[in-house]
Amino acid sequence: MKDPPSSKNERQFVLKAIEERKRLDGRGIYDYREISVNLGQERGHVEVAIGNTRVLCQVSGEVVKPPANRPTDGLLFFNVELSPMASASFEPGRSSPMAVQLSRFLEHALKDSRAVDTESLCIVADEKVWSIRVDVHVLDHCGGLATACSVAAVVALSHFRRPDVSVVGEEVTVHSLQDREPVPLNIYHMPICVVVGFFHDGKYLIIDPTWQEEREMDGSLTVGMNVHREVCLLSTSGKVPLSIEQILRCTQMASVKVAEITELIKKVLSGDSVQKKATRADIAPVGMDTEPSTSRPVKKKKKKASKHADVSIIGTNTGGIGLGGASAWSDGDDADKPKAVASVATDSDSGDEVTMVLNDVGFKSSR
Amino acid sequence: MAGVEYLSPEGLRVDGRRPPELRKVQARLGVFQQSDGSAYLEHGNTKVLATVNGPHESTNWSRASNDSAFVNCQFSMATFSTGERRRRPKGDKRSTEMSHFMQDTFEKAILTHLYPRSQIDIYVQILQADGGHLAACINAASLAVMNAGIPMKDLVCACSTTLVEETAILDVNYLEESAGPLITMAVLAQSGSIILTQMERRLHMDHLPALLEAGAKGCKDVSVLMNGFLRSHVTDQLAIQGIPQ
Repeated sequence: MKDPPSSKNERQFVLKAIEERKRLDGRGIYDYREISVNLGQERGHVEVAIGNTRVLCQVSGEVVKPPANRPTDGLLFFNVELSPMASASFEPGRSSPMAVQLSRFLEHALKDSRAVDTESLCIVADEKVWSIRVDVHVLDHCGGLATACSVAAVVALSHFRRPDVSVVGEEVTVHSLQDREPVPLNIYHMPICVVVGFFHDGKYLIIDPTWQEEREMDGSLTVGMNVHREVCLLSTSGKVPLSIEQILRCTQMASVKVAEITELIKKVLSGDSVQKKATRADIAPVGMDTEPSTSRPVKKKKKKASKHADVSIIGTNTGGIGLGGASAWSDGDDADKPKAVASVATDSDSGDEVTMVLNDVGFKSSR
Repeated sequence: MAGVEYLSPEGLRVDGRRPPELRKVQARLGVFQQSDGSAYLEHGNTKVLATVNGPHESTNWSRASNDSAFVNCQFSMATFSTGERRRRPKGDKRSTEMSHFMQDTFEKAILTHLYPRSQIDIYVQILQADGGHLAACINAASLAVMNAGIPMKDLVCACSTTLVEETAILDVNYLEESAGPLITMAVLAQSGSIILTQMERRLHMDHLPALLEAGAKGCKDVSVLMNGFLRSHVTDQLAIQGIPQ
């Protein structure tokens, strides 16, 4: 469905407001909307909201064979999905020019400017490298997509941890997330895109246009910069020609905004790492001699494999092995429920074979 | 590429040019009979072919507009254009991006309000790629649009520039493309107002003014050359048709 054109009243209202240096939501002309960054539980998952614009970003990695022309570099893919959820004008399935443009913005700003160190993603040259994929989904389009997507991508890449890999001779071992602490990516700098909209043939400009302002604007300039005042992306769009002075002025303004946004990002990331350290301290590592509590069976580590797992009896008909506590669903006597307690005998070496012997409650478990 | 000396101590580039020098630009207009306008342009070793069809009835109703024509650009690189023969899929991101830039540029320059509900097609094909692709495509398309007789605000001239050892060099070739941040600029010839700025890689803000100024100057030089091509083409056409000037 094509976006219906704005009515003459709306258009005149927006343009008149810009002329009087006012914004529809009461902001100043150089003000950004409120930016909120929410990190997910999973590493590499982040949701960014700029005013009403919301985007979701997920970073994932897998080990692949590198292309022949670049055997020692990891791969980095960016993809921006504009789902019809975000705006009725986005058609499902087909990749619209705007989606391609946003993906290319991210590629220019993050990949071409070497924000992520791709050489450290190489495991074995010409055979195995990490392929990192950044998927950004736009959930709600209310203007300023370039900023939202770039912030989301940058935060997600900084938040992401890839599994640790050790190479011994020819053998490559990808350690699981429980075995070894996952490793962060090498992020050299954080490029953020700032969108500047031009009105009245370039006479007036505003920063961070909302969706209504974007409809009426004559042209826009997207500037991608990092906090070190390096320009990573410069892209003009729209109907109005610009002058060099205007472009330079926009980069000056963008550098101020990027500094503020980077400040916010760093605060969010450091807050999250502090929180993660605190939760890790609560769970003490399991030793061989500690008694597992009945209420919270603790999962044993693979390295310190014991002969059998301990079963904890929770409630009348429930026994538990492994993670997780009492079932939240059973809240009374159920005579029909099978009464069983299982004991588990495991092979200490491989940890692979598990034999389960089901007994009735009260009998001694066989070893 | 370490070890490549982009700027020698005497101030010469890898191909012997001085920093503000353009490559040898050659062009021919009206190379095809079937299309309304066409042009072949060379920037040194970068060879580009552009054809224009239109304005004609719009085939894409969802994009047709009641008050103006819309410009439909398609960019493609021939498989034999680079050193290694590489098949490029039609809809890949890079082609779509370049097409989008060209569409953006020409919608600013062509007087689209004169042809409501119609469509202008611009097809650009790179026959040999040696750097400065977007600039060469825009220049070729500009000549082709002129050849088709479609009214424009002004001639669109584009130039690529990059920064090497604090010096701005113009009209980069394939080797120099990876030397530093690449900026492609397109301007309207007489007024010099910038209608496209596209930058790749990183550049410190302090170097930006010098680079933009150099780019604008390069575009002005290109505009002089393009004007020359247009005039000589028109003179030849008049001579062929036997019209005394």
